[in-house]
Amino acid sequence: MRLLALVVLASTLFVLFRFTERYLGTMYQVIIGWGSLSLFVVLYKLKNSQKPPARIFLIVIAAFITLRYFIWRTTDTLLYTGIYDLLGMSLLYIAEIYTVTIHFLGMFINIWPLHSETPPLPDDESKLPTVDVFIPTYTEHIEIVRITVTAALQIAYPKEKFKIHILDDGSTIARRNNPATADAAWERHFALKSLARELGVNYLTRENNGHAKAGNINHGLANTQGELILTLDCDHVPTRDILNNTVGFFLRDEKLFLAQTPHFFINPTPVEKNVVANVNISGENDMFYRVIHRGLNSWNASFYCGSAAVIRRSHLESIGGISGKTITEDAETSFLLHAKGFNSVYVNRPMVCGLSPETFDDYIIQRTRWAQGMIQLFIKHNPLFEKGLSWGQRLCYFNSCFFWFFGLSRLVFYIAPATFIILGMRVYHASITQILAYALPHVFATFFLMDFLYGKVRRPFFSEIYESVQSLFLIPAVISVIFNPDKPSFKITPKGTRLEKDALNPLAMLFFIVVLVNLAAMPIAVSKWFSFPMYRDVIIITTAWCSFNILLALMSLGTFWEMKQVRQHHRIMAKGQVSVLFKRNNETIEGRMLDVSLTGLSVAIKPSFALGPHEDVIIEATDSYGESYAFPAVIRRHRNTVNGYLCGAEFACHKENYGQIVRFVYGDGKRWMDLWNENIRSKGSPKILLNLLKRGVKGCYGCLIMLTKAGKRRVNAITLTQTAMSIKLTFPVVKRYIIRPVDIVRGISPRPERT
Amino acid sequence: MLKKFLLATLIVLAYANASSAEVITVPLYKLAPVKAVDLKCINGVYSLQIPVPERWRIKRATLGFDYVNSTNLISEISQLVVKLDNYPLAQRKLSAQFPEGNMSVDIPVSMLKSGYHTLTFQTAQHFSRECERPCSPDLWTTINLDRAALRVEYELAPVPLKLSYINNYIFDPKTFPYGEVNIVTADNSSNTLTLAGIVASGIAKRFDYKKVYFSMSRSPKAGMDNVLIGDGKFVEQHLGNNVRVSGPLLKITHLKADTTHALIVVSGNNTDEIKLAAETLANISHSFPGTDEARPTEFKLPEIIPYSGRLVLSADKKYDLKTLNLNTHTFEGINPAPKDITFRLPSDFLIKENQYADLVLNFVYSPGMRGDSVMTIMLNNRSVRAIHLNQAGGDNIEGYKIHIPTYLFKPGNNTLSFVPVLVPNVKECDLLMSNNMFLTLFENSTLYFPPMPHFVELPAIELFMLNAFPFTRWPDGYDTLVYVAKADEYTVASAMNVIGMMTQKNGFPLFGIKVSVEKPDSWKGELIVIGDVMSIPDELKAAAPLKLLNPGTVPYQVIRNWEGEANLAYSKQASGLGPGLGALMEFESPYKRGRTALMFTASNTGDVWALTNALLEAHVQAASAGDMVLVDLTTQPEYRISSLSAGGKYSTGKLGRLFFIDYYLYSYPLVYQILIIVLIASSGLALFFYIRKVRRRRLNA
Repeated sequence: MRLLALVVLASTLFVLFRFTERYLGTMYQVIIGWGSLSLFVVLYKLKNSQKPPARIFLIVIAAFITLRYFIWRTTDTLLYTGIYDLLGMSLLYIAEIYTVTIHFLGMFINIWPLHSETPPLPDDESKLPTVDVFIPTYTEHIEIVRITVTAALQIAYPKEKFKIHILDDGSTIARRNNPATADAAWERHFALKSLARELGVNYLTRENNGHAKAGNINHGLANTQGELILTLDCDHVPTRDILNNTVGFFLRDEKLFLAQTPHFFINPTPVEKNVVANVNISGENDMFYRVIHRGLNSWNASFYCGSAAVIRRSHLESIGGISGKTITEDAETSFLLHAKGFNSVYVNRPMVCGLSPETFDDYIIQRTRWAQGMIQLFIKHNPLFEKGLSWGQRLCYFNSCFFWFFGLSRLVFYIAPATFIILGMRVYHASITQILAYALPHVFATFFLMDFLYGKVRRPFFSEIYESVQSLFLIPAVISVIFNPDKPSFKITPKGTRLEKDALNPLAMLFFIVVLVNLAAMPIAVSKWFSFPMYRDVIIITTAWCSFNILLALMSLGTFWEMKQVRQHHRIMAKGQVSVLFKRNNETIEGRMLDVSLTGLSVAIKPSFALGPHEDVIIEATDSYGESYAFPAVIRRHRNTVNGYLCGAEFACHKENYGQIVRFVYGDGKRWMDLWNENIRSKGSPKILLNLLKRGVKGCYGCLIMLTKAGKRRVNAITLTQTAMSIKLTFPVVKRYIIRPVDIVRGISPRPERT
Repeated sequence: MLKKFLLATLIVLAYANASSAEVITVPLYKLAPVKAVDLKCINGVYSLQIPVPERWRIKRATLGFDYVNSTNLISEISQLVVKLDNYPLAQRKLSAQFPEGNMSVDIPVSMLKSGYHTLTFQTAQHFSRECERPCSPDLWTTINLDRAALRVEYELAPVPLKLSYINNYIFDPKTFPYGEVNIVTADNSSNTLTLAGIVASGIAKRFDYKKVYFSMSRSPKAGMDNVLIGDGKFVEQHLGNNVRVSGPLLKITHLKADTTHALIVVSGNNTDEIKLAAETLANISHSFPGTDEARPTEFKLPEIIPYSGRLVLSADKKYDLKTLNLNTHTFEGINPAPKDITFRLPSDFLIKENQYADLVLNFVYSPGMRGDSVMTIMLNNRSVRAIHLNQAGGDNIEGYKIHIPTYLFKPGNNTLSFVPVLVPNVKECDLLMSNNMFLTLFENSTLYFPPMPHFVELPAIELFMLNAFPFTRWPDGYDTLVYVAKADEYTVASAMNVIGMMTQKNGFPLFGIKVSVEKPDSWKGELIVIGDVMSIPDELKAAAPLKLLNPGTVPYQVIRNWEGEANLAYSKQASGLGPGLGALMEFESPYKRGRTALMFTASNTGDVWALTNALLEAHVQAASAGDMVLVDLTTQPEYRISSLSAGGKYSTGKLGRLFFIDYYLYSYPLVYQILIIVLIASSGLALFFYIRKVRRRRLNA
């Protein structure tokens, strides 16, 4: 019945738009397009526009504008003008189908996000379930594991009710017996075992590394008995309240299999970091966990993200543990459990902090895994037709999988206008008036809707940059998994890599090619303006499009200037009062904490005396739970300001107070909440974009240098291979079109069809 | 004897009087589209067509014209030649000393046989005896066609009494300056007028584009051809017992005491039989029958397709150029004359952007031409593409495809022209041989026009002037009623003029049209209203843009503004059209929404007739647009015309299966807007309640 209602609604809309488009003149359509857009903007500016039903009205208007565009695009612009034109036009149209589908799915998911309030835990501790904390590790530095385990030990939960397990996959028996890895594996084995003994936690390893992380967790499952499992990546340091804020959901809902919490990163992704130093641009992670996941939660489709999540053992075991058919085992496991009718919940409160990949190469490795894994899920378990899922869940999972095809559509958008200008392929048939009537309202409505949905966590235009920088590199990975869904293997994301100096990543070369192609189209467009007056409308459209491509590619290229990262531990912005006791005069000065890391903190103080070098101090602070801390420290550097001194203090860290420092730095959940809320974007994107553009131009110069004889040696094999692949793919097409006259036919051509 | 002599003298005089020659002087600009001709370059040529009707016996013909030539010409080697059918009639040196001249050329009568004759003005012009640029600006001669005239003395030949002579003899498109036909009927009842309308339509079609004035009377008029329509009794009343009417009858006879004009009888025992005879008359288009009478028993028309008509191009169909009357043609020489294809598109085509007509050309061009030779494709005198003929060795090109955006076409007449510019590959002073230069365009080249919906905003009198739209949507005029508000001689003749004009516009006889003298308040189709102001019903006057009531509302344009931008003031006043002013107004029929009413009116019926005569003039038609045209009849023959769009708009078009939705969405855009808002609001609310329900369920889980 519901489906029937939807079909009737869709048919009515189609009929209405079809006939309207057909019979009302284009100028009238201009009025309808811009009128709808104005209505959208007016509603958008209303104070309560984010609250339903105003929010839903806004989304419906945006859907109307886009649907209208898409129907016009389908019924009016797909004209056959030749076989090659058809090919180009079809590719562009398919790319647009993709973007429109994703746009609609985005509207659907985010129509009314759900914030799940944490239910309180019972006072009677005996009613609490037992919890196993799994910290899987592979080859990460022992110190990273130490921090996480130390922080996990601080979790506020009855000690007899939870156990911590280090699941070591880096020193499995197989690795220890393999001559290539044996030394490191044995060393790691002893170090982790001794760490576990030292901290009083359980250490587990296994025979071999079968099924990677999924296999590791399943091995942990087989050797433990806790009712609930908290999984933490070894670089995901938990706060003390993580179980207090999640376990209650399991007591309330017997069918709940998952309580997922956000992944909160204290370091920016390469894109964020390279855009502008010291400016918080808010990353993809924020958008996913702060907006999209709340949307997924409203459709009971919040899925396991591999860490920072609590899972019910019994439900997990009902499907044989963590699934390993795909390399995104986490999403796949959730998918199977949802299909069995179990529920999930998303807790919108950061309770772990972790590290993003530091370099572009690592970033791309991580995204490639996600893309390949989700496409494997798409191919192996087509979410749209999986039995047991609600239609809302189907669409949510479909969106999560289908999204990863964006690289292909971006590539088409990058080259489409140039194919018209350079090769004469007519891929988009529209006049300026039609663009005004249909395309521009759609483009603006999409832009405003993105801002409406994600504006709190995402600056305008940055989604395009994020997508763009990943797009070209994901294409080979996506294509390979389409042709061989079993091929991809789990590649762990490298974390904690450090960059010693600023450098242009050779991956920038592909964007340099995109810039060159679109730039080359410009003078040709000018020439065509004069020689083909009949096509001036299309020339205007494609030239504007090329300009946009150049801007986007330049800005993407700008993000490939990798900024150096030499700090051992990332500083975390922090707030709060601290007392600084100077040992030499026994005077206590009140100060303001500015940032904190595992090695020390920054503090603003206004002492009545002058500071000397290397002052010995004791820093006293209180966390949000009211617990007091006192850390001996040395002020390593300071500088005068109008309001006193800005000091950088280094903790005097030793075995006895290490746990306290970890507890203070990472254990305070309110600190992450404060940062989480501060991450909301500020205005001023144009300045950042301009800066990015400058870096892009500089990047072009860098690419030119690379292309010189000396520079060529610096281009790594991946870039060369990818560039060669691109050229190999495109050359036959270019060749075919270059020899094909665009307008003037010389010599004998095929006979026309006779009537 | 004396009596015999006097009688013989009287007979001779009477005969001499009867056969005395008519004299007609035709300004040449009436036969050509321009008022002055510039003959440029070393070899300037201009030709025009002179029609000679078959029934003329020309006694004398003289051509007189003025010319002015360049004072840089060398008289000894520059000359002007006048040719008829390529035969030189006269020549004159073009003198630099006497650059202005006039010529009077007697045209040998033997050359002026019936048909079309090509009159050519040709110059050979030189400003240097040495080498010279063939198209130097010094080389020109201007002929003033405005002051040039062809004076013809002729007499009419007796009309052969064969029915087939109706075609191309009695009703001959070569007749100039106009044709004149009187229709004789027994009464002015609706039935009779409908029959007269069919006859008038058939006659007008025989005259092709040549204007023809109709009159109506109770008895034949002298000095013109007459058509007598009526039953046996009425025929007997005029022709006596010589004609026996026993069924449908068509007969030709001479006018009483005048063998040079015909009286055509269209008769039968009842209306159906007369209609059968009338339809047969309207369709006689070749040399059969060779008898003076025919008794038709059946008449079968071809299937009538909406929107068809003369030279109408069907959408979604590929035509080769041969079908479009352009046979394989070779353009030769330096500046060959262009070739045109003329076709019509239905007036209500909703020409959409982003669609293309495809022209696929097959052609060959000669070697030895300079690289800047081109063939320009022009649509309605606008260049849409130039093909570069830049292969030094010539080329044979097949399947050269040109996409022409459909918005460059216009509803109604369109002309697609091929204009080659062939440039010889020689330097100045080289021996110029132009015979090697040619371009042949093959007739198997094709033109394809994509499918288009029929939908148009009315009123638009200009569409009526194109092909009598919307009254010829069904080409036979089905669904159209001509309402004659006052059945007097002038008003009914005006109706016949209008029917004739409509036929000539669309090229299809109006067999389906109805003429009525009854008030058409129950008529649900298209409506043409003809009559003086007093006799037209008030509801029609009230619906017109210029409300000819007392007091009436008169729109005035305040300032001249952009097209489509309303800038009208409305004055309520007690006034009227007054004598000498005719009004043509188009508006939505008050009797049926979406249907059109077209009103021809004036203060008296004489002026109404004069108005319909004026509207036969090409320049009056060209100036008629919008929904209101006022013609000052006192300024004949130029006519002062005011066109304005002052009334409300409505839409009409070819309706599909979803007629109701189409109609309302297009006719009431506000409904559409409201519908969109309602749809958005209701879908939004429905989604809101649905999601709220889902969330509650989830939160309670």
